[in-house]
Amino acid sequence: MSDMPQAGTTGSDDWLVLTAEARTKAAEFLKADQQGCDVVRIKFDEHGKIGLVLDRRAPDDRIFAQGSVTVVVSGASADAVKGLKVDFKPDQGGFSLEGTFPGQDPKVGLAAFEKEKGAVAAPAAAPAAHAGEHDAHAGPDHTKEYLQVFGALIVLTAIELAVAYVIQNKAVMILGLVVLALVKAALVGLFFMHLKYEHASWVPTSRIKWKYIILVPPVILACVLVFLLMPDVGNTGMYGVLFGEPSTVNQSPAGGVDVIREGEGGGEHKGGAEHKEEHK
Amino acid sequence: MSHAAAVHETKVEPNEGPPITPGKLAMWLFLATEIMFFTGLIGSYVVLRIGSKKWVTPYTVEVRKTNGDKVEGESRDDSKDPLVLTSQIEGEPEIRVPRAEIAKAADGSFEIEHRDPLNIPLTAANTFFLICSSVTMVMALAAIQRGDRAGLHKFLWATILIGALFVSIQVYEYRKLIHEGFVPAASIFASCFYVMTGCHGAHVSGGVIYLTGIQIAAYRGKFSKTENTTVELAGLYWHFVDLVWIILFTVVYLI
Repeated sequence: MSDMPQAGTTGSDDWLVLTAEARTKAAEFLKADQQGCDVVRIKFDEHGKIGLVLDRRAPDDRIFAQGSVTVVVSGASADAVKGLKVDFKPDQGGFSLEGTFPGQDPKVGLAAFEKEKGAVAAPAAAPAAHAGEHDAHAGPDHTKEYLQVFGALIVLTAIELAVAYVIQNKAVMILGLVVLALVKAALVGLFFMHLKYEHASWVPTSRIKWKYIILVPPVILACVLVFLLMPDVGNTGMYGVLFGEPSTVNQSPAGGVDVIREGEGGGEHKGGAEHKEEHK
Repeated sequence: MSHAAAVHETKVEPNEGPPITPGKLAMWLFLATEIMFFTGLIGSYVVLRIGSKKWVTPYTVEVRKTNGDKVEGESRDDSKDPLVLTSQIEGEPEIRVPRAEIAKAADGSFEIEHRDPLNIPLTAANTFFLICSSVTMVMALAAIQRGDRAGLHKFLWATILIGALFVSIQVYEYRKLIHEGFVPAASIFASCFYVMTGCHGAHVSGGVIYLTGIQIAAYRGKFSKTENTTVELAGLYWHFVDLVWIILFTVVYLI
């Protein structure tokens, strides 16, 4: 990078410092980037919030070489980052910025620039092979959650039983039961299978919700298979009962016990009844 | 030179593979196929049920004529003979309802009351047990992730035993149902019932064996605070089986 022409002024090393960890991480992000980004930019959004993004060098940038990583700041903001220290703390969820900025906390976390391409932040951004597997590592913290989910599942099961036994309207009952079952299934998936702890990362270099990439298509297909076939096939039977349309099942003539006395042929009965009606 | 190498790496490395351990990817892919497997079973059940003109679940029916007189009879769906009903009123002759007419019972000429062969309270208890086992499973994983091996053993045992209890109750239920004549050939419902709950029961049984293997490995000291992915994978499978049961319990028993 050093052979490239440098625009602007090269800042001194103590103006802005990246710790060794932060440097390593930033280098990893740059290496994994596929958009042609070559620098880490310190950027202020429209609210004055500070953050890091991967970017390309611009002509008026102030450049701070930090070992293998080049950090740039827009020339206009260069003074604002004086004394800034960038660290990487995995246990705190990613990069942290320390310094004094006008009108801001001395210590600024890094969650800005969500819409920005190539933003660097957040635990999910960790390009380690185990991204997403840290999700369950805070065992003690989740125990309470697990028990709450357990309680919710039990309560929902009880409600299901109540719905099944109490509600008479078949359509309402089925709708209620399906919704309850889906809620329970979602709880198991989100909490016990740790889907909730997958970081909803917006960082291209991170491992974007990879579980969902595997899960969403089959779930959609499952719904398509079960729900879209229903009205079609259902037109012949329960559909009418459920949705209040006249059933296509032939109605028997009204009146009279529509059963067969001993000795009469079963198959011919209905025809016989209709025949009698016609004669009347 | 090194610069060129770096550029080359930039383009190639991100595409080399998924960001996760192969085992975890494999497990999730397996679970995705399992989703479709159970969807196939549930989907065909739903379609069969909704598409049936009359869905006959019971093996025993009570029939009332519209005038309020109660007649009782037993219907076995594997029987081709008409349902024979005896009236409670003395002296009234037997009436026979052909199979085809049972389907029309809802039209008002007589009412049929279904006596559900399935034991819902028992199954609800079984559902409760399976949910409990899911909780003990996450606890087992949480324990080893804290480095607590004793906790791992304890919670794994709980999970295994509750899983075995679930299967035992299911076997008991099957025995009872079959004894009462609710055999797979009794009706479409019976067939669907045994296929769906049977496949799920097989998954639970497999899970119990899987977890027992994990427990043995745990006693051999294979797992630690940092190395516990295998436990996590077994947990994923176990929770998935629990999730499937939640759906099945609703679809098969309650609806």
